[in-house]
Amino acid sequence: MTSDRGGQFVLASTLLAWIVMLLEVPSFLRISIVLAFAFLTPGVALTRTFSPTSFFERLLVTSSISVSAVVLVSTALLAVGLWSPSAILLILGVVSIVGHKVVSNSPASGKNWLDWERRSSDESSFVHSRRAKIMHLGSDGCVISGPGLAALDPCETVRLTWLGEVSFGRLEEVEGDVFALTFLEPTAGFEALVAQKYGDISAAS
Amino acid sequence: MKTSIERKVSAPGPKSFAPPQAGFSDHLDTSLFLVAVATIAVVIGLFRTDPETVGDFGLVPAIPLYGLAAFVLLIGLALHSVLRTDFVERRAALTVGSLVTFVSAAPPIVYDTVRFGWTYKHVGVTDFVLRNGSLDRQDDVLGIYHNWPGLFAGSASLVEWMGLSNALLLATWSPVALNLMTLGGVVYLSGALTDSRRNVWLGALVFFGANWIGQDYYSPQALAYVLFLAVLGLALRYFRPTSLLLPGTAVYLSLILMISAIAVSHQLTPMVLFVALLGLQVAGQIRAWWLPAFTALATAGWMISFASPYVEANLVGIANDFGSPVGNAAETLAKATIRNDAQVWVAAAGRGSLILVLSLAGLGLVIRQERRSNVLTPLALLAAPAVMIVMAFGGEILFRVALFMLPVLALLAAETIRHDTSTSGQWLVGLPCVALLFASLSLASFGKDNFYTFSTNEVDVVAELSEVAPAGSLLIEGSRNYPAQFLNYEKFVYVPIDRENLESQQSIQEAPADVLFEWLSNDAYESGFVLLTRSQQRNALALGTLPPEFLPEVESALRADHRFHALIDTPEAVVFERRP
Repeated sequence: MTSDRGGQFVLASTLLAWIVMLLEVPSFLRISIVLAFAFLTPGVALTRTFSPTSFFERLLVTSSISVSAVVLVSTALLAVGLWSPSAILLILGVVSIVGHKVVSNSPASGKNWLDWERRSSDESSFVHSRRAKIMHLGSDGCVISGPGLAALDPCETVRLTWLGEVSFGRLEEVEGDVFALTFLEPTAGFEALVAQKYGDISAAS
Repeated sequence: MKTSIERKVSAPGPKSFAPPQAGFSDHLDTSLFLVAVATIAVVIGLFRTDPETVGDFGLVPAIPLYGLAAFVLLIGLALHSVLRTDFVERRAALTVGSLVTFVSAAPPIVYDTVRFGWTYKHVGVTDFVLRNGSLDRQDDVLGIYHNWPGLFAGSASLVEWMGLSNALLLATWSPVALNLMTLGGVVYLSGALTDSRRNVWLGALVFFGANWIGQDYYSPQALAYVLFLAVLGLALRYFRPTSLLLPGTAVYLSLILMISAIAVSHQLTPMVLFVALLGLQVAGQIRAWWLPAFTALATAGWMISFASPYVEANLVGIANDFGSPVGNAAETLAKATIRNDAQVWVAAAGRGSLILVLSLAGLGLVIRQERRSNVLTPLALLAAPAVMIVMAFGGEILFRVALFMLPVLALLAAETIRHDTSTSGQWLVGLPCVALLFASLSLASFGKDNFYTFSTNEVDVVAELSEVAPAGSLLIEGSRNYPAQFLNYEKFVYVPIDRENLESQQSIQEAPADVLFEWLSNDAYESGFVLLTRSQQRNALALGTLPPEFLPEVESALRADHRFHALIDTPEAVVFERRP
């Protein structure tokens, strides 16, 4: 049901929160798990597809969304006279898991992600596919953010796959947790996709 | 306005190559070692601070010298982290974050109780939800909170999940969590207004130096403020005309979620948010008419539906206050009137700090204008809270306006500090400014701790009274400055003596036992109590709300009168009951 790390976190934290609420466990552990659930889980479910640039900003947006979800579900049940802490936890968990699946599978989500692969050590192939979030897009390059990018060498070439179309990319510049890539040898399909989906960034600017 | 990296992608022609930044582990240098040493010294210093030694100038003079020196070191390291030539964002975040954490954690560590008497009534509303699983929207004591119950509903859920019996623990440590979230919010919003990450973090440092306004406690407005910053940050990132980010389903859902949470939690914040979003839209800084429209819809929808009992009952008062900016501003300043010499300095420190930030920010706007940078976005954000001065809001509106302006003011101030391109020039301006701001903060934010903090003994006395008193009791209080209304609050009808009219106060002063015996003999109440605490007396001495000898004389008179007996008698608080 949840094949990516965001989905696994949402599922695991919901289950943990449920277990610690039902069992009498040491209160520090219980408080920590509950706080982690309340401040992270619903937010992780949504921010998976639009994580902001830096870790701190991501944390802020994630916790703001999570707190909002706890407040809204609790208020809604209180307003209709059905306030129940266990029901609220259940609703939040289910909504987070379903919400995560929905936004992860939505077409808008797919547009925002590309896969990149590094050249193997003997340079005979491209290996170790990773996903990265597209932060900005131009006709000649893009800005992406995601795990593993920090390990790339300056000017290293990677293979990019975006919505099934392929190009190569060369690392140009980093700023914090985001990385600029220049497109190299884009396929016609890739170029068409860039133009079709987002237009020419030079013209736009 | 695009970040440098956006321009890099969009710029035609050959690309220049900048070497990647080093990893965080490469920067584990002396300054990080000093941060660790300073935080350890701060924590030891705070644990060794005796709350009994907190005097007229508040908490700071009571902290051991090495603890204060460690705080000064943390401030210096935070400034150093943003001004040093090899700026690394994570290092700046670590130093500024450590400073914010320990400044916020100082009161809970030293006092072990919740600061500010009015925080306890918020705990009381959460207690009501926990006991009843419902709200009382017609409640005439704390009705406003029952009509905007977001914080209380959410924290009641948290309290239950954690297995606690009330929200006191949550309230005690809320300032740490809220200030860290606010730090994230300020950084997030500022990041949408400038290319420079240094200016963003210097702005965050200036923000916390200047934020003495004290809205970081367990309260609906503190929660709504964090969400307010997050909404504006998201809106400016995804809906600016020049933005290349794509607002997918999750962005829309997140904004709807956060705006709705603000609308059900607080009265003022959604209005400021609406004006800010509308201003940004009209000024062409965002392209999303639906954002101000949805904010207005959510706000008005909540007011005319769920919150209608409160709105209908208070409509005349709201209408009378609305549109009187001069009167509302004067009310804020009148509320800050003080009688104690130390408190004159405390008030002056807060106002001086705001004047400094306003001056620096004004210069920052001029600099932006000269550089042809974007001034419309900051101006739209600054104008939004200013229009709220037409509302009274309990005589606090000027401070609330300042708080909503502060993130933008702080960023503009940071740009002024970093106007000189040389590091030495930036230190020359930045050091005295940041030093002045944090010196002011030490007075303005902690200078009232002598009377705005409470002992565990006082909390225990109020808890015991709340348990033993029958519902429908009369509670006569010296003032409201004590841990009031946090448990079973609806059991009582409250009569704070310092809010009685002058004639009534004079009659009590002339014959305390006779007058209070008569009040307690009212058959309309199941029972009656007089509650006097040391914090009430300290408040009266500092703010002059009652004559200095008033409360001690009342206590002496009741102790000497055979018609009263002390139901609960401790060194910090006493509860008198009428003998049958």
